[in-house]
Amino acid sequence: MVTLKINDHEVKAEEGTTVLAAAKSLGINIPTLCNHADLCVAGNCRVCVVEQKGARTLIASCATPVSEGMEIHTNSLKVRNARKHIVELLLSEHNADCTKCYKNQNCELQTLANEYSFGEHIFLDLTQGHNYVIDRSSPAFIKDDSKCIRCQRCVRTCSQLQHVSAIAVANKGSHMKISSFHERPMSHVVCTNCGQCVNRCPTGALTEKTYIDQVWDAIYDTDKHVVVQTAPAVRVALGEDLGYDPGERVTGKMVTALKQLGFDSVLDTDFTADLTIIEEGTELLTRLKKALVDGDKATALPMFTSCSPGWIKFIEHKYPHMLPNISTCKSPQQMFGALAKTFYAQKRGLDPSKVISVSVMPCTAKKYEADRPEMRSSGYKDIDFVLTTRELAVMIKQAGIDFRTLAEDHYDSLMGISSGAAVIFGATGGVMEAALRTAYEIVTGKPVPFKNLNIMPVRGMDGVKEATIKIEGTLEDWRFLEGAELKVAIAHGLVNANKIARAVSEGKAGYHFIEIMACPGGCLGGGGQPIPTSAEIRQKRMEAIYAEDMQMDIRKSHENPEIKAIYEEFLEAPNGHKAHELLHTHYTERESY
Amino acid sequence: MMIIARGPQEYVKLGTKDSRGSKVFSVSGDTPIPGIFELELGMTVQEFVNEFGDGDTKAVQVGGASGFCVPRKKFTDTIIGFEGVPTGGSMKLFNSSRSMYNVLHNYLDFFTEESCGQCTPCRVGCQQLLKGIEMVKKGEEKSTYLNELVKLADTMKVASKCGLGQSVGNAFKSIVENFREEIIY
Repeated sequence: MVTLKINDHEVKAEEGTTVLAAAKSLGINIPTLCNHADLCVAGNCRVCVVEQKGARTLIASCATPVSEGMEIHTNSLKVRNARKHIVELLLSEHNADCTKCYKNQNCELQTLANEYSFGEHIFLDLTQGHNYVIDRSSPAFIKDDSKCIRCQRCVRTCSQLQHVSAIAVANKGSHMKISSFHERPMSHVVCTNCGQCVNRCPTGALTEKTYIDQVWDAIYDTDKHVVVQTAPAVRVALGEDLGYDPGERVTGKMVTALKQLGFDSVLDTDFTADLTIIEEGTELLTRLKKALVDGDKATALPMFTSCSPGWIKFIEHKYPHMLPNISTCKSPQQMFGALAKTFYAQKRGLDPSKVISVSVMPCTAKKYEADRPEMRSSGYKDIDFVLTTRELAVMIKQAGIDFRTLAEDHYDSLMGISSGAAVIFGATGGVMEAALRTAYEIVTGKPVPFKNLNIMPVRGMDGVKEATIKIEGTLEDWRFLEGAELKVAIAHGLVNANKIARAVSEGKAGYHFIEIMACPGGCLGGGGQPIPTSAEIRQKRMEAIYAEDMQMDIRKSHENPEIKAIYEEFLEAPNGHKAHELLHTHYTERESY
Repeated sequence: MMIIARGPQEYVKLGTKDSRGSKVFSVSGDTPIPGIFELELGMTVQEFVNEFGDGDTKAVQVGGASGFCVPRKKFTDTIIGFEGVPTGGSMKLFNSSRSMYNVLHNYLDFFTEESCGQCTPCRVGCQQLLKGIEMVKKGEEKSTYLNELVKLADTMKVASKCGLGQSVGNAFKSIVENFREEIIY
């Protein structure tokens, strides 16, 4: 332990603690911009400078560890003057057109400007001197350099958390900017559209491409029947944008709000998450049978999950030779889209050309996924518009809905019933757990041998998780699996995904089934989730997801009555002809630069 | 050279208490004898100018673009060394034909380009200082705006991440303070 003084208060802190963190433990907030809990220290914005007795210069509190006898002042005149200058300098390079900005009132620079820079600006406007570019090429997000403060949170996110480095620093001095490979548009570089950068951008330089206006237009078009689906991770995070603490479940209120917004039918992506389990579980067992019993060398194992569109784009770019290892199942969003304009429209007697399918996702890559050319198996664009959790919160505010006072409602039926297994899709390890709950039971006729069906080894926030499930007491059809040990692995965050993908590519991993989620924590830490994010916030969202699972009447995907019915009435058999047509897809090899 | 030619005992007798020995200097600018010279530390700028000046020296930039500009009136009481103006060895002489505005503009242009661009005070500060003196020169900003720029230079000195940004203020402040009218008019 180290003893130091901050603003004349004595404080003890662990060695290695930053001055910033030590001050916080005293209830002293030091403003920051480039600092982010998930990322390594950069110390480049200099907003967090403080005065250290005896030091020649001010020090960056985010980048300085505490030391014995240190005397720090966080709010001296020297500090305030420097900080004001720094904020003013950032503003002088910044296109501060706040009323037109999507991040208005949710911008860390704006907050600092309110504290440090009211009245006349001191410095000259430099925005005209820079040839700022707005890149709208990605279907998922917009990169507006005129709003960029060069804090490099996005750069660190992309390299450190995602192992992608789609964006990096280019040039130096006044020409320094955040750019892409050869300054290509973001649609033409190795970018997974995961939106982790968007989630960490302190200003409006990186924002999701919003479809709020298009959705309003559809809702008010009386000729159109607008269905909306909500992903599992949305219900445990939406509250954060509407004044609730992280980890509050707002499922029932969210459904009510969506109905009040005017959607014709409020449905659940969880329904097709259950369907994914049936399709993907069947696919896995079929692959195992082909490989183990038929000795088919062409069967690709291990099988990777395919729910995360960021992961799909990552592997298409980085490991294209492993595309046969990815499950051919579409993600739940796209299964839902394909069924909304076929099965749902038929059952409801609707003209599918009049059905508009909207999804609310914790994800920006889903916007890209919905735009993929192969996602039109209903004969129409399967998903018309994808909104992020944040965009839904904006719509609820726009509609003047007092969210807290809303009554709780249930999802509409026909593709609205779901199981707890589907809810946990929102957390890393959830797809694995859901798949095991069903696959184990298909093979053995018995539930998975874990208390309350909670497969604890696949849960938690470790970057890479491994588990082995021994299959015993198999049914007649699955005797070949008797005594087999099913080896599974789970990774979240593409930096971890890359570790597993490389091991598989090099033949060093003996797994059968691997779940990958592109974002830290899985979908609950998605790029479209409320800002800010941190390990603690993601932990709370995860606890909420598992709590939601525990209170569901149905806990296993194959016990969902709507799933049973859709196979009887429409899809025929899992992995059957019709299922393949609507629920499965193929992947595209992409260049690695 | 001195240490090799005369040995360490003789070397330490040179210079002053804080700035011991000799140093290799690069002499350039308005001088009849530009080149590399080894000189004893602790001499005054006047002594240096007597040796290297062209008879019309109005200022010497000691320590390059990150160093200090010494005007004629301070030649006699400014020591070259840690007691006065420390230097890495660059000595640039300016005679009365030179515009100190152009000198400063050149330095700021250099720093605006050479800043790595990472930290805010240096990246944006350099641009502000450069554009600031341009606007004052053109009369589009009041001459008192220079006072704001001097304060900014102080912030850059204490808040920049590395020595480059921290030393931009040296040349800026010493030129603006000593040749204010040349910057304005």
